[in-house]
Amino acid sequence: MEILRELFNMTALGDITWQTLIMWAIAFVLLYLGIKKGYEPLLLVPIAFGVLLANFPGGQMGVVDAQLIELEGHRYMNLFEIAHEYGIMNYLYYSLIKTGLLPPIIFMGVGVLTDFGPMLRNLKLALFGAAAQIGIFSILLGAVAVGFTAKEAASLGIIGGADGPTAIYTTIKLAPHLLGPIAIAAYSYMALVPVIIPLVAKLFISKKEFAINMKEMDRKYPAKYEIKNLKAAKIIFPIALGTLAAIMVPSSVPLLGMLLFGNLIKEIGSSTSRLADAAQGPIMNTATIFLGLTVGATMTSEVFLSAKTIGIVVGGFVAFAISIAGGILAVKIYNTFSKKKINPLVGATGLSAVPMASRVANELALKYDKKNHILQYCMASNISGVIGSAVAAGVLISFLQ
Amino acid sequence: MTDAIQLMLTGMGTVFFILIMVVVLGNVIIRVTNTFAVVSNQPGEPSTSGGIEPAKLAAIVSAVDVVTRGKGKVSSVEKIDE
Repeated sequence: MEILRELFNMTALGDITWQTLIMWAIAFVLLYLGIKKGYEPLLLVPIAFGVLLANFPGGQMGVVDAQLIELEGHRYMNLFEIAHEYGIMNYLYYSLIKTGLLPPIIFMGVGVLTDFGPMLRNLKLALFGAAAQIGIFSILLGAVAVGFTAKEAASLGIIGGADGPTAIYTTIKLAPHLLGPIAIAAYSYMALVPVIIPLVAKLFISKKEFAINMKEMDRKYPAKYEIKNLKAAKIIFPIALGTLAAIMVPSSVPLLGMLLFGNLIKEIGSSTSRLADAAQGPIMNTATIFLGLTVGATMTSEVFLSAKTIGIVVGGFVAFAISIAGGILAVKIYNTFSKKKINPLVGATGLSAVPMASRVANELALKYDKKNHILQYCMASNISGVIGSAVAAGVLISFLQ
Repeated sequence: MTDAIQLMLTGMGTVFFILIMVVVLGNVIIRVTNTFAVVSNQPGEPSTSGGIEPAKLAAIVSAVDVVTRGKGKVSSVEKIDE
């Protein structure tokens, strides 16, 4: 009997609570969405598995509150002490996430995957990427009104930028205790872009506007000049933009600077192709694994099962929807003053979710006119949305940190 | 709440300002490269005499560029009839 009792104590059976079971259920749902439905599997699968790991009782894989690693005199435990006291997941979290290291590393890889060509060909459309950041700041206001602190509200609002690494980076800096729910909400809504964009677009765009043919408009009102050396322009652009951003919004540099560096090593071509391959391949993939697992591991039942999580889930969706609507309305305002009309779907893609938002908008446009391929135009505002959300994050961090 | 409204105005203002600057910067870069870095088609452009499709030609040029790490240039491409 004694042996059986000891055997039982050795297992985690006695530590399983109803909260544990809820967290497992959440993890299973996220795994199902990532594996079976294919919703952002590269991030949802590691995040979901991180949730599972964190909620295996006795596994020592859940991220602990920062107060526990704080020592007297504003000092913190060193990494060896953290690993010894709280396990390897806390070691990874406090070295890779809490320091803000991984999101800029991922942004470097995103930079390699980004092509500024469509934006340079349609520069004016970049402005709609600015209008689509309105969701971030609207939800900031709303969240403050319902009782979130300014830092929490900013972290919640940044979901409206539809940029996972930016949302995570901002939350690490401003409200690290909300990292898990905000990362889950951000990536879930990004995965739901094919549902959310058509939903909002149909509310605000008329059939006539859906059918605005961008190429026809280009033929009627051609550009003043053509780009004679796109390669040179694409090499100079990240250097010049990086310098400008560093001067105007220095706090956006960790994200934007790494994005532009990644883009530069791709655009230089074959002489730096090894660096570009490393940045978009092994480095980004490794960073993604650790980011996903550690963010998931912040979602212990004590942190996740709270009223604030529901607020984040609802607020994140509203932020997303307002951002899409903001971009659409900006195009509509532009169209009232300009002869050369723009399809409002170009404004809907002012979000950062690249290139999924553009693909969804293109498919939507093709439903109304089979010859209306607007992908390249949408990519212009979509890419400027990445810059816009990084700048918005920089502003929030510099004002609130 | 007043602080939040102020932050909203500052934030949106900054985002618009930076993206307006992106538009201006992009235009300046295009004009400068159009003036000072025009791509010359004569020396670098491979000559063809076999009616090779432009897409295939671009693929060959790109493959040579990657394999030789930018040092090799394709001067001509000919179709060999067997």
